[in-house]
Formats: sequence, structure tokens, C-alpha cells
Amino acid sequence: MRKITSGIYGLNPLLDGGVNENSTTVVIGRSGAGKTTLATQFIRRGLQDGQEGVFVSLDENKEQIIREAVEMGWSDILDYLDDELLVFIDASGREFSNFIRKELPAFVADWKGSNARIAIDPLTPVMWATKDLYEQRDLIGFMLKQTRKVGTVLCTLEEHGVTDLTGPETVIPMYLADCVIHLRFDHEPAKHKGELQIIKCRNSRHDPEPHPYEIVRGLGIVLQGVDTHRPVTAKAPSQLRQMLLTRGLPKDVRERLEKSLEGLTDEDFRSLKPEQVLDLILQEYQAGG
Amino acid sequence: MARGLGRALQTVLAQEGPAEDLEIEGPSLANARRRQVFRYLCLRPCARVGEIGRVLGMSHATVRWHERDLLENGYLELDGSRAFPRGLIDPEDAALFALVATPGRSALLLACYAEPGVSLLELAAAVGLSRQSASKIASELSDLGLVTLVEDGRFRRHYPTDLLARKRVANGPRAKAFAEALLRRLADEGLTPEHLRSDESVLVLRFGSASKRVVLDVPLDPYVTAWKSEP
Repeated sequence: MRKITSGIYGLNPLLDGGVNENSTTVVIGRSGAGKTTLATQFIRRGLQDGQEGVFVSLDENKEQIIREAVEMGWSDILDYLDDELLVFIDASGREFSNFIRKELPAFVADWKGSNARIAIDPLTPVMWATKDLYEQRDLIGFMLKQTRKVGTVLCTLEEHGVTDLTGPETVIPMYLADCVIHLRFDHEPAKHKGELQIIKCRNSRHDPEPHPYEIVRGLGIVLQGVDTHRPVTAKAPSQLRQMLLTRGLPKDVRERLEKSLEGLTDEDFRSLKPEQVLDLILQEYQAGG
Repeated sequence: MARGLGRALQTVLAQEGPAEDLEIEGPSLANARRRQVFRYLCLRPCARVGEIGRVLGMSHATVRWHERDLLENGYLELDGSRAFPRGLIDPEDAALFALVATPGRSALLLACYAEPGVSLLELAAAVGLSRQSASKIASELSDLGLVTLVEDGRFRRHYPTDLLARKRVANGPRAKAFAEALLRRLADEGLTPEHLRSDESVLVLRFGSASKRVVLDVPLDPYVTAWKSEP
């Protein structure tokens, strides 16, 4: 998987270098959490690298989003708009869901292999275009599967009420997206703190811990407490490899395990001790004869 | 790398292709409103003219006019006064679809599925009908084998049968053949259809002339959609 930098300060180290190219990411958060800011940062970073950007807005009108971006200090997006490197699309949830059902396959066939960055902000009205949960799942699944063929996709999703990701509006996209990022945000002035947490990320190492963030004019979302200089160590996998040599495992089993350990780091082992893992391996292969 | 994906997406989203007439004289489905009528009858075979007109925003006369054209051109078939897409359903089931398309029937059937064993009083309350009307409709549904009525002391309980589920499974090959025949028919009429997507419930195709092409999603699962999509 090729990594592309996200444009969000501090997020790349948490995603093992960045967002997977041609993947789908869903960013979930309450109103005011910074979802649109994050989506704009993501698109703008691609534009700086010469990638096309498509911002599909299903809620706010495009003038509003552009105005907010300029107020943030990102007036360069006006140039990208003039050059048509960036295109804003206003659509309603119903229009967009009709497009997914009827036009998307042909559109993807025409543009397959493009490497645009596509933001859909928010995905919620597309889900609400149909009441039936099975249809919602079908529609969202189909959209995510298709759109990643023409670019790297980031969708935002509104979170209503409780912020524990159990709401019906979040569950379906969470299952279907490749990467899920939660912006947990408290409106109370005393707290007024946001925390970003990567809930899942397919085909990539990722840091599952929550990290506080701030929205800073000119910079956008900036994460705190991200250790970008931490050395990558591989003590645990190396010890396990040594232990395997001394345990008289059949050669083919040992070779398979050694291959599985290639490229692993201590982060992959988290709190697991090599001796614990060795015991489990021995149980597995000795029990099976 | 080709550029212009955003602009192309903007164009596709802005166009009103599905609601536009093709600039071709002759083929029935070149007419946008006729396509809508045909599509609706695939969704709810044997739907009443009044219902189609109300949902699609057309007068009764307009719906009848398009139905007549589709009948004359073999896209539809008639059972009594109710039309259904030729080849999509078993013609023997036309009476069943006609009943399900009659107001109140789908709601009652849905209420039985929602709570198997529901009593007549509960059923009447659930669908907002008098006890007498609910009883009459339940008997009609029972006569066609869609609902089983079981006497339980003072109560008459209503259980849905698996008739529609069985018919749906049995209809799979017919619906597939219907989709293939539709594509062939459009090709014969010079509308060069492109098959965009299909599964057991829908066929999405694009067709038209070199200058204007439209997308049509044809519902293929009437044994479900006929009673689950009452407007």
C-alpha cells in the first residue's frame, strides 16, 4: 500500500506514515468538531502535491466552505479553483444517492486509475436518502468500493447524541470504510477539548490511543502528544525468532513463523511478551501433533 | 494522468438525464415519462392508474396514454384492466399483484410480517382501518394464500405465509431473462444499451443516441417491491 500524507499535522505518524492511497476513510464527529476543516486540510495537501481535489458538499453550500477556508488562512484554494484542480460540488443527499445508484459505475469506468483526493462532507444525507438499513448498507458499501478506484476518499459523518460510536448513523460506514477516525469533541466551554482517535485502519499499522487536538488558524487541526521521533525497535520479534530456534519446531513451521515475523516491530507486539507468544505457538503446534 | 475528474463529476451530477426525452422518434422508451411509467410498473406490477399518476405527477390520461403505447409495443401485458411488464412476473400472479397494489393491502400484510399472530383488533389498529374493513382485507389475503388465519379462542390470529418468498425465489430466472430480453430489445431498436450494473433486485442500464444518453434503473424484484413500496 502506498502512503500519502494526510495534511493533518500529527496524524501521519499515527497511521504509519499517512493515509493508504485509494482507500476510504470516514471521519466521525459532532457538530463543531472540525470535520470539514479536516476534510479541507486533506484535500489541500493533495493539491499541493499536484493531485486533483474534489469536494462534494452535501450540507453547507460551497461558498460557505470556501469562505471558511479563506478565513482559516488557506486562500490558495482560490487559485486551485481557478485552475480547476479543485472542484466543489453542491449536491443534495438524494441527488448524490441517485448518482451512486445509477451513474457511479459508468463514471468510475471512465475515470478508473485517477488519483484524485475526494471528500464527501457529510455522508449523513446520503444515508438518510433511504430509511431501509439494508439499502443504506448496500448504497454506502457500493459507493466506498467504487470511489476508491478513482482516488483516495475521505467522508465525514455527523455524530448525534452520545459520542460512543454506537449510533445507527455511524455503525454502517464504520464497518465498511477502510479507516475510521473519531473526533471526540466536548462543547462545554470548561472542557472544550477535542480528542482524535483512530478506531481502525485496514492494511496499516496505526496508533489506537486518543490524542488531544486543537484547531489553529493557518494550520487547521494539530494533534498533541504525538511522538514523531520515537525510534522504531524490534526487540520482541527478534527475541521470539531466537527462541523459536531453540525449541525444536519442525523446519517448515519455524520457517513460516520466521517469515511472519519479518518487518514486525515492538509496536506490533504492544504489551505481549515474546515468551507468552512462544508458549501459545508451542501449544498450537504440539497440540496439533 | 488525465485531469478533469472533478469537472466530469460535477457535470454528471448536474445533468437531468433520466428525466429527458431522447431525440429519437420510434422506440417506446425514448420517451422520458413512458420510461417512468414502465419503471413504476416493474416496481409495482398491476399498480392502478391513479396511483401511478399521483406518484409520478402525471394526469390519469397521460398514464393511460403511455400504458397503451407500452402495451402496443409489447413492453406490458394486460390482465383485466391492470398492466404489468411482460416477462417480469408469472402472468398467473397478476391477480395477486392487483390485490397487493390495492390500497391498504400492503399495509396489512406488512403488519402481519411485523407481528406474526397479530389479532384482528390489533391489525385494524395497526393499519388504521375499522375492524370490518381489516377483516375483509385479511380474508382476501387469506384467499390468495398470503396470510393464514388461525382461530385462537376469542381471537383470530393472522400469520404471514412464505408464499411471496417462494414465488420470489422461483421468479429469479424469469427476472434475469426479462433483463436480458430488455437489453436485446433496446439494442434491436438502435438504442445501443450499456449494461452498467445488475443484481437480483435491479438492472441499471444506459442507452440512447450518440448525442444524448440516459440512465434507467429497472426494478427486478417485484415479489418484494410490490408490497414493500406502497407510496
